[in-house]
Amino acid sequence: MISTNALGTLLFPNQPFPLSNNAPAAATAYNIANSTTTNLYTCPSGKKAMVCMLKLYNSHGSLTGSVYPVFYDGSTNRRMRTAIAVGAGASATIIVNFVLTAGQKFAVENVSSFSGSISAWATIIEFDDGTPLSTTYLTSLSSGANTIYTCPAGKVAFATSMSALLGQGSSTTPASLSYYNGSGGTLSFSMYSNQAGDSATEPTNRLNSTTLSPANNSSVIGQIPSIRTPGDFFAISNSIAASNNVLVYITNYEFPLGAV
Amino acid sequence: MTDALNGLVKGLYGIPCFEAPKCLTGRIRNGTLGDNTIQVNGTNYTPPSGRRAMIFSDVLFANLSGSAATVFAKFTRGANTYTISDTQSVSSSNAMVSFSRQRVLPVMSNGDYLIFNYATSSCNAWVSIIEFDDSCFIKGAFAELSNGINTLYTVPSGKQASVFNNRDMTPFRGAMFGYNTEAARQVIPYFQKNGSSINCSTSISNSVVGVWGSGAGFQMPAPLMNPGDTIKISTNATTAQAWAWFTYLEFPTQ
Repeated sequence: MISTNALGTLLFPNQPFPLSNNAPAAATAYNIANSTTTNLYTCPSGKKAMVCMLKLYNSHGSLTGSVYPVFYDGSTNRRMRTAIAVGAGASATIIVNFVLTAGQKFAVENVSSFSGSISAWATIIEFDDGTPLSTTYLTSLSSGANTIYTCPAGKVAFATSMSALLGQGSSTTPASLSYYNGSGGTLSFSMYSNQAGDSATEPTNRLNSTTLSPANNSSVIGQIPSIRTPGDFFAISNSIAASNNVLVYITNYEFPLGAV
Repeated sequence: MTDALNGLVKGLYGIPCFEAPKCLTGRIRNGTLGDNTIQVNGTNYTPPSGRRAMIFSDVLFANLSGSAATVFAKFTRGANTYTISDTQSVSSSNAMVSFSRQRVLPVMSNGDYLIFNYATSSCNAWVSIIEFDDSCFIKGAFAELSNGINTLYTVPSGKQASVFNNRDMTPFRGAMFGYNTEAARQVIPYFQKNGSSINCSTSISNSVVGVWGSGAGFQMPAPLMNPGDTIKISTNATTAQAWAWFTYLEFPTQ
């Protein structure tokens, strides 16, 4: 998969694609207490920030730790993925691929049976908030069709990932949808990559052959196609309504349609 | 070289690599058993006259048939259709295939079509396409191979060139791909400077590429090529048909 960076520089050689004035940001915490949510990073005013990945280390001598990545949306802490199991004396890394806006936070919720011994490092890139890289997300789901993203007029949306953005990784780390279920029971859903004018659950746009069914407090990552042109939209069909403790998101870079 | 490389990545010395680019999503919706041509907005896709196109992402398949299936790729140019990949499995358990993981699909011109042959029905597919003017520096070479030495590309007068990896948009890092209708094939590609003769020292790969029956490819060096430089390939084709392709940048001498 071509990196967004390469695509941007080839399409717009005189513009600072893909991330204007980007810089890494510190996001670290050591010996994190359990049964707490510990903030790692707050996106400052005038900026966006991409949380690329989270690395955890467990220095405990014998017990496995368990940590949720958490997104604070301005009012609520929201678990993002299945709790990450970190073996004793071991580390674990996950791709997060989420763009924060000003005031939003990235944190970790330590649900280990022991306190301390868990350290966390998030890889975060901060950039100007005018950069057309964004994460769109839903925090509650209706029964049936739910539209997550619609490509606006005048844009071409390129669903991207940290690795694609930076030109790292391989084709095995393409654009994806993340679906976390903390509703209290199993949820089932299907994914649809729709063209403008299609119904949200058009069978010929369906991406998964059998229904995806994340259990409570677990997540699913689904591979999705890259490009959407104006009016194209990405939707999921959910088995039942879920008004709390869900987080579904994809990340897009929107290029001006005038050039592409 | 660093400046040159930076200049190239930034759009070939300030000149955009893609002229009038257009991004499209190619689709096969509810594909059927046999050949299925990639479509855009319901019409079999070929670049319009005066335009070329290339696939710049992996191909995603969603197999809704309920059972595992296989798929392979074909490329139509004029009256000929060429198989350009081995057969790959497409699971029915929500796993989509990163089809082009080890290969780059040919650059398409007006009249070219990309086809996926399914051993099942009810299979959706997506590809990401970038379409651009013929005047763009990005070009593709595709040639049927005969027994002996075949010239795939010669840098024209007043031009320079470099093989290009269109899968990750990397200049000065190339890849060549090929397919033949037999299981084993002795294939030796050559990078030949203008005026030099073919010998081992000009071989891209001194070792024989023994099997090209499965649409195999290999990394090739991609130095700056000058007028008259050529890329050639020798085969021991006897009864089989074989073809090879790669992508390159061709731009005015700097």
